[in-house]
Amino acid sequence: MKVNDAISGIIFILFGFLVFYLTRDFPIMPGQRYGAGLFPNLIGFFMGVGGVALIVRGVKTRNGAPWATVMDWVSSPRHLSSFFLVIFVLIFYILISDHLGFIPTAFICLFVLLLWLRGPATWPSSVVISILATIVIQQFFGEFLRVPLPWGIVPIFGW
Amino acid sequence: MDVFINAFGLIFDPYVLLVVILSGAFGLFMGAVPGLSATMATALLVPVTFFMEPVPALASIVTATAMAIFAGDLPGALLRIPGTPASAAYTNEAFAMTRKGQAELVLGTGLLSAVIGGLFGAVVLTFSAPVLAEFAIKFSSFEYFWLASLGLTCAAFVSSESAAKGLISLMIGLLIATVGIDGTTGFPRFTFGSVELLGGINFIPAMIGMFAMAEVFRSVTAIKPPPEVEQRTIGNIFAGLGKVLYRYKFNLLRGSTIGVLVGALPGAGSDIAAWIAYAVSKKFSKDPEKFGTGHVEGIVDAGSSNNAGLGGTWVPALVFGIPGDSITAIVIGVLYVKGMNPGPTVFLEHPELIYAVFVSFFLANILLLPLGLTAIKCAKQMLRVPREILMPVILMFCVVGTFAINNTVFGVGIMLVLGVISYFLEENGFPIAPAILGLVLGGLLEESFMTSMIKADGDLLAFFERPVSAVLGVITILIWLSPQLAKVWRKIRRATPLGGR
Repeated sequence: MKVNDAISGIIFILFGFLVFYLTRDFPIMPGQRYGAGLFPNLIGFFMGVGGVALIVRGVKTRNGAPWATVMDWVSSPRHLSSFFLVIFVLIFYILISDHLGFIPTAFICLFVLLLWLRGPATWPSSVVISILATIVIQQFFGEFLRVPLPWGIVPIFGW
Repeated sequence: MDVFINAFGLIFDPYVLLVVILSGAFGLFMGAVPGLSATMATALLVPVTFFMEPVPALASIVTATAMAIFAGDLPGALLRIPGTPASAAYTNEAFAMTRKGQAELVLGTGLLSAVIGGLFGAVVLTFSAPVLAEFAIKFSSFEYFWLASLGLTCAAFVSSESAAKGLISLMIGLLIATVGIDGTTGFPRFTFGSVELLGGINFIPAMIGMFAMAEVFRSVTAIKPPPEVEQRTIGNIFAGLGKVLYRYKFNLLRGSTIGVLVGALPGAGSDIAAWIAYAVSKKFSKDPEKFGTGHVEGIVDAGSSNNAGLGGTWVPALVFGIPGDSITAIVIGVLYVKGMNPGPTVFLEHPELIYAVFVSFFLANILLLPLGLTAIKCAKQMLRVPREILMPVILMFCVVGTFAINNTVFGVGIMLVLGVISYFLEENGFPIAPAILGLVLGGLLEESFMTSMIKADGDLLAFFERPVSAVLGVITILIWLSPQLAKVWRKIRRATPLGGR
């Protein structure tokens, strides 16, 4: 989504107000007039200042252009799906990896992405690449750097 | 002198050398593939350096970035796409030379001017940083507040055509930095009851999200397929090179000087250095009309300036802890992770470490010659690696890299959210570099601000009482007001001639 600067400006002004709202209960330091909320409030204030400048700029430079346009890839179902597939794969990893274990989860994520981006006909090479990449990453991080990647359903065996 | 010998010992250790060579190869690849930048190379290296001692960690970042900045020239010359933003200034010129059948000459010039510029940057860094550090040791929280403000201000103003967008991006970074327990009052801020957020948003997942994830999104949604490499195999790049470099020896010096100076400015890095050096080269050239038609002169200037700029960006980063660009912002983050507070005290507490950085700068730029030559020979193969394979693998690397920092998938979530946000911000013309600078410097800025406020008992004038802080403060405020001042100035100029007549 590409929006006119004025729209971004309004969004950031609202965001600045949200910061003010969220800091309303922050405690002040004993003996001072300010506290934990001072710095975030300054940030919210400057965000609002930037927002006002964007509104001015957006209205000045609009010249009849639409307030918002979708990016060209949104109208291509293929690219739109790619965008959401990446998000979906990451959420899948976050939810599943602890239970299923790193190796199967990483393989599934890689295979799904490769198959989608390269086309179904490439499945044999996609399987091979997914297996190789999973093993290399697992060995590098899990064995060499000793990151405790989850084993999940895969029994722990010392390669 | 002893520290220098110590530093040599630290760098010329088999393990460190192996790390340096591997990071060099990694940097060359990342720089050569369009869409993967030097910043992204650094971002992906950080989770790996997390497990290293400080010396190999810093040496690997120095090497990878020096290589990546040069390698950005490869697709520039062969595909007319800059491999990294630092090569964008002279991509058209380089491609025009390739069209004329001078691919060897342009790549050779790019390589050697990068090596010379890089070494020049290393010399300046080595000699200026310790001197400046002695000066900086006297700074108090007031000076640090203004230095951080000045650095962030420059970053916001330089990085985009709209200062307002830079400002907002910066504020987003600063706001992310406030999440978690507040350092002054111990109050949890913006945690929404989440235990994970109490410790704050770790900068590593945030940075990987902003630089690497956003690029994955850009790549999978790219409608236009990347162009094919046409160039035949590359011959001897050294043929006729000596003559060109001898003829433009002054340009080498000028490009390198511009590079170091621009790099040392907070907020401006190699890419801006290259644009300025190219423009200066054209302005003072004897044959400016040849620029753009495949003329080697501008490439000498700009090719040396972007590598010299790297050395320059480390000066404020090491001396004041104020990063010169997004790469050194990441470096500052790495130093904090390693338990070292960047700034003049590092020069006293760990001088061998600082000198090891200097030595690794020299080593990286000397290594650039053989490794860069190999990269030129393999350019065709590197540019042919399909994006559809690279991106899923990079994505998985990002996931494991963020997981590795705290061993929870929480970081992966942070990476995803910030990746999506930065993608949309960038599509709407918001620069990302100020946000990462804000995220890294937010803690220092708030702490020095709050400490100063407490010291001064809320009296804002105290921020201007010490001479150095007064100068820094006035400069910062002048930059804040510069758009308005420029407007007023234009009005006066327009008004005067009319009034005079």
